[in-house]
Amino acid sequence: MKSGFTLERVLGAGAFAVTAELGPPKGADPQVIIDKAALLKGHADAVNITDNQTAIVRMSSMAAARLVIEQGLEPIMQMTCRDRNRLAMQADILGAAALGVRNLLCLTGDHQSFGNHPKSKGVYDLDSVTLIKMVKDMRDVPAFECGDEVETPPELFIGAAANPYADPFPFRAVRLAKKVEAGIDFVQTQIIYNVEKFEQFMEQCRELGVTERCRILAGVAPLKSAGMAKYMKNRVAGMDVTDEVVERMSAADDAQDEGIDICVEIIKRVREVDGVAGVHIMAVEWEEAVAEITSRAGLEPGHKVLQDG
Amino acid sequence: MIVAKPKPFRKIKQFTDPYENILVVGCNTCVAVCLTGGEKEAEQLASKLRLHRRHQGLGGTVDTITVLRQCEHEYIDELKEAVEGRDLILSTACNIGPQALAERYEDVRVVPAMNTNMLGMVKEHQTWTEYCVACGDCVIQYTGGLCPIARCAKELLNGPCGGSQDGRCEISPDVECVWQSIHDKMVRLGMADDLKKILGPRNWSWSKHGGPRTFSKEGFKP
Amino acid sequence: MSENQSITRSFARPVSGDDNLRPPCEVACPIHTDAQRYVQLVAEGRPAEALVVIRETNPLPQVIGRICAHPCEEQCRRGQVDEAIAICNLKRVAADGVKAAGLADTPPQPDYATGKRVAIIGSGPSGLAAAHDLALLGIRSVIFEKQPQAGGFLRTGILEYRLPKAILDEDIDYITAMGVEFRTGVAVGSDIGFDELAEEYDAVLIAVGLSLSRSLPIEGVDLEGVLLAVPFLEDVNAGRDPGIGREIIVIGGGNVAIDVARSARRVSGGKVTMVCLEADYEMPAHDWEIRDAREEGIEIICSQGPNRIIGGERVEGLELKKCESVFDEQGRFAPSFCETELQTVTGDTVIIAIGQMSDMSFIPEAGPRLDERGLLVFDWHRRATTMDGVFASGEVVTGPGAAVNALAGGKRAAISIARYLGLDVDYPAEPEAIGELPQHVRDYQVSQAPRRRMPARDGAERIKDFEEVELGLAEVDGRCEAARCLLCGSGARYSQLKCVSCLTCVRVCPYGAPWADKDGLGGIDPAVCQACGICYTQCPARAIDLVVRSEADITSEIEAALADGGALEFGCWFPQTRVAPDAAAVMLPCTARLSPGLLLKALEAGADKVYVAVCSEDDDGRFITGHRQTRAAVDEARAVLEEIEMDPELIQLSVVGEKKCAGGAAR
Repeated sequence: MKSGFTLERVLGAGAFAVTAELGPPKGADPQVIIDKAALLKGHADAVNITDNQTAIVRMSSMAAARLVIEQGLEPIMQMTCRDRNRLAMQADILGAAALGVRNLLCLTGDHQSFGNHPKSKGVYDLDSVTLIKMVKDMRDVPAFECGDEVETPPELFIGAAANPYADPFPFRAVRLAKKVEAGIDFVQTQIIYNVEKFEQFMEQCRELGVTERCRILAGVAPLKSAGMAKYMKNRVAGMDVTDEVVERMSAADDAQDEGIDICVEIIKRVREVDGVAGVHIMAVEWEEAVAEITSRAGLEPGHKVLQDG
Repeated sequence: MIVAKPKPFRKIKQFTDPYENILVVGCNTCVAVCLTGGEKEAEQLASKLRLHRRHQGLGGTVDTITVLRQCEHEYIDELKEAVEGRDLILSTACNIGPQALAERYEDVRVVPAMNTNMLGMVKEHQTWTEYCVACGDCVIQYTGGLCPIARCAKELLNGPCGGSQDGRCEISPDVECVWQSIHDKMVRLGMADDLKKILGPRNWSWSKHGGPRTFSKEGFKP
Repeated sequence: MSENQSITRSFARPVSGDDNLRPPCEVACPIHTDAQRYVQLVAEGRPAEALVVIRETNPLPQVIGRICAHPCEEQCRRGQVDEAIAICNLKRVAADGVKAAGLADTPPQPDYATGKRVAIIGSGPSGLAAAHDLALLGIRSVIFEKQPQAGGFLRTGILEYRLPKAILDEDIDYITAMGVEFRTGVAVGSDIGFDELAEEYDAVLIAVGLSLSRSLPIEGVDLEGVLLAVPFLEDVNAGRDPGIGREIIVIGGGNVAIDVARSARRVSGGKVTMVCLEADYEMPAHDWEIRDAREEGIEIICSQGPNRIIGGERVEGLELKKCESVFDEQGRFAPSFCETELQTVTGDTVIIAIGQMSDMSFIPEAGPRLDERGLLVFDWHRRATTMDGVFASGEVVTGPGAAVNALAGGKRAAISIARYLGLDVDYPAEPEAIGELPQHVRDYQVSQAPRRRMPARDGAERIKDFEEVELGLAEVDGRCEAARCLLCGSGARYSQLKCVSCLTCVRVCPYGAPWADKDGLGGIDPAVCQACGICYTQCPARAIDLVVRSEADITSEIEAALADGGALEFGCWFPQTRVAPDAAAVMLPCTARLSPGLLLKALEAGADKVYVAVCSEDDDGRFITGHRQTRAAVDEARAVLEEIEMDPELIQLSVVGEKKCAGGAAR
């Protein structure tokens, strides 16, 4: 047991994990977090607290994670390499651990040019892979990146992201394997619409032994409209929204309902894929959809299953 | 001018040892001027590699050729014959050169013999100092003609910091505090009041922080 | 910002940076012998190669190595520093060295495929040179000489003590061996008609020199005991009794007069006095000839003109009148005398040596035209007379001059004749000399090194016989002397094409020879460059090489020296500075021109050890900062060896001991 908390326990026990996403507000009001946590509580084993997602300034993921903990929900704190150098990152990792954070998702981060501060300087002192290695060493050696000893190591369950849809496709599983090698315990994938391609990716992961060494949570997200489907298909790099999905969204009378249905179907399909240990539901600014999705998919969060079992 | 310095030989030999037929390509522009990668240095490196390989019983061939600039398609096209049959190209150019060669000669491995060091000014013969970081938005019109981005360790726009002592930087007595020099120059120009204005924050998107840059000169295109 | 100010130096752009400029010695030489090159080869102890270089232009190397008026030395830029290089003596060192070592000096065997034949009248230096050069062009010459032996004035006019007959014979034998035919004892005009020659041969060269002495229109010239210079010298040279007494007065101040006086001193064993119109400093004879004469006890009375020869039947003395000036305002010969200021020199013999003229009596009416003074009407450019196919060269057309000038005339005539005979040959371009040594270099930047003196027999001793006076420089002295050469104009040459305008040369040159302007144009002023090679070792773009001992030269020498492996020394030109005498050697004007690359090249070429000679740290040696460059190159090369895990001791820096002949450091 590395962290002794929910997500690791669920995945360790082989239960199917459900994670969701909670975006901190663009303001200092803690109530926003409290409200969102209420929507997600009981429907997910843990929730990702994003870190200036898409390079837009929000309440810090560490503070929001602490607020989430106070609501009895387990946070997966995201940390990007864009905004901090290795000093700040290590300081925040110690601080987060001290505040009770037990899951850390290591990301390179969206480029600052996407967000609301395109003039800012990007740091990228480390990238996601070297960040993973640094966190693992802080936990296991325990040593800081420079080699100095960490007096009280942070207990962290280390996660990362993987995108089966980016190019070059043959390298995606290899890159994930690098993250495994660097020290991750779990991974959440990019949003899946093209299940066939995801299956190919998973096959490569299995061949590389990735599935034995880390738990893979398939990323899903409900579409809200046909426009959103088209936008994601055409404008967002590294997204693969199939024509079929776009057509279904366009043809639907109730797009939100259809979006949730599609999401549920995808969850059902990926659940059957060998090596998938859970799902990560990204209902960004639509947190209430998570309950609906899990309900229609007949999914209970892993920790509940374990409790019940 | 671009200043580049040679990689340690222990590294160069690591990535050249396994190869049989090596071409050392020199560059007779910036790295010639900074005395590290022009024709003379390329020849000397080739000689060194040959001696090393003979000493280690490695055999193989090491030849050398130098072009005026490795960062021009036309010049590196001229290498076609020299590259023929090579299994490794070792470039003594700044790190633009090996990339250009790697793109031009798709089937040959290209490795750098150098590290691009800086954009520098010669201070005395054989010594260069960083003067520019190609930030894309020059501010020296506000700073007495001296760059606080390239020459201040903290890239301060409103220096000097509390570490300035006797015109030296807190990171090392060998490093000039450019903000001391900026201050002195502005005083000399009667522009000291300008330093009371708050500068920045600046737009880093025009630097590398905005992503890899390209530049196209407007006007006639053939 | 103040740190910026130290490195730039401003350089004036030189007026001329022409890469084709030649050393002044070569330009001054009438036959443009590449003196610098043979001097270098002598410095390196390579006499055979030196002789080859000499022979490229000079058909009489041994003769000219002894008697040359050496105008080259007048122009030698070393003379601006201390004393000129003994270029002439070094020619003899080369030839002596070849003989001493028994090295080959084989005459070429020309291919006389042209079938053309040229008659040359006169076997002096001009005729010999023409015959030699015509032979090389495939044209056979027949030389007609009225004297019983070839050589012209070299044999009849120059005495054994200056030019041993055996030496003259060797040079002539060489030309004979090339297939030139000599018909000695044949006087054109009496034994064979000029017309016959013109008929029989494809061309004729008149090179008869000045075989008649001029006399003086003064009282007493008919007295017994009054002789003319040329017959006197012919008698002495032929071993005949010239019929002189024991108190001899020589009239004249030229080189022939000196020869006459010195010969008379030897023949008579008595007192010899020279009398000349010119003041001491105006005398036409060379300074060294005057010095030699004085050393032999000959008195010279200057600024006096002969008024009359005193005597009854035989000469009893010479009355002199004061000569107030020799030349008029236009510089023409127009002596003026004070007729009242008279003095008398006693003597039993007067030899008139005031000049010579040609004997043109062999020229027939229908032959080449003569002017009213009896001189050939002559086209200077083509060395041609007015008669088709008849050419002329040497003193017959130039008037009195040095032997080397006669050679030059003969050589040019040879080309004219060849062209006349339809060969496609050109006159060589006249070289242009590099400029003077700049003052800052001359006064402060060149190490002083005294000229090696030619050892000579003592004056009192040498007048007892006709044995050669000058003994020749010993090999080591010759090499020391040669090593003094400044290699004018043979240092750095730069390629504008390859230059990257980095300014390195401008910054490292201790002499300020390289220059650059704001447009990045640059050059290396050959007049300033001292050929140290530092810029060459530092140039990052390989835009600089050296004329003498270029990279290619050194590389091929390294390879040749290491043909069988073993150790290699990069040595210093100065003899007695070898640091690894058992090793093969590549000798350089200074090891400052060694780049680390060349040191590595030596190892690549198979050297199992490389020794590098260097001056001690407190001695700038031949070049300012030169030893620092050598040390830096060795340090860098050794650092390379360490990096590649080879033994840095494979390259050894060895400080040369006291340089026995290098002289002191720069002033």
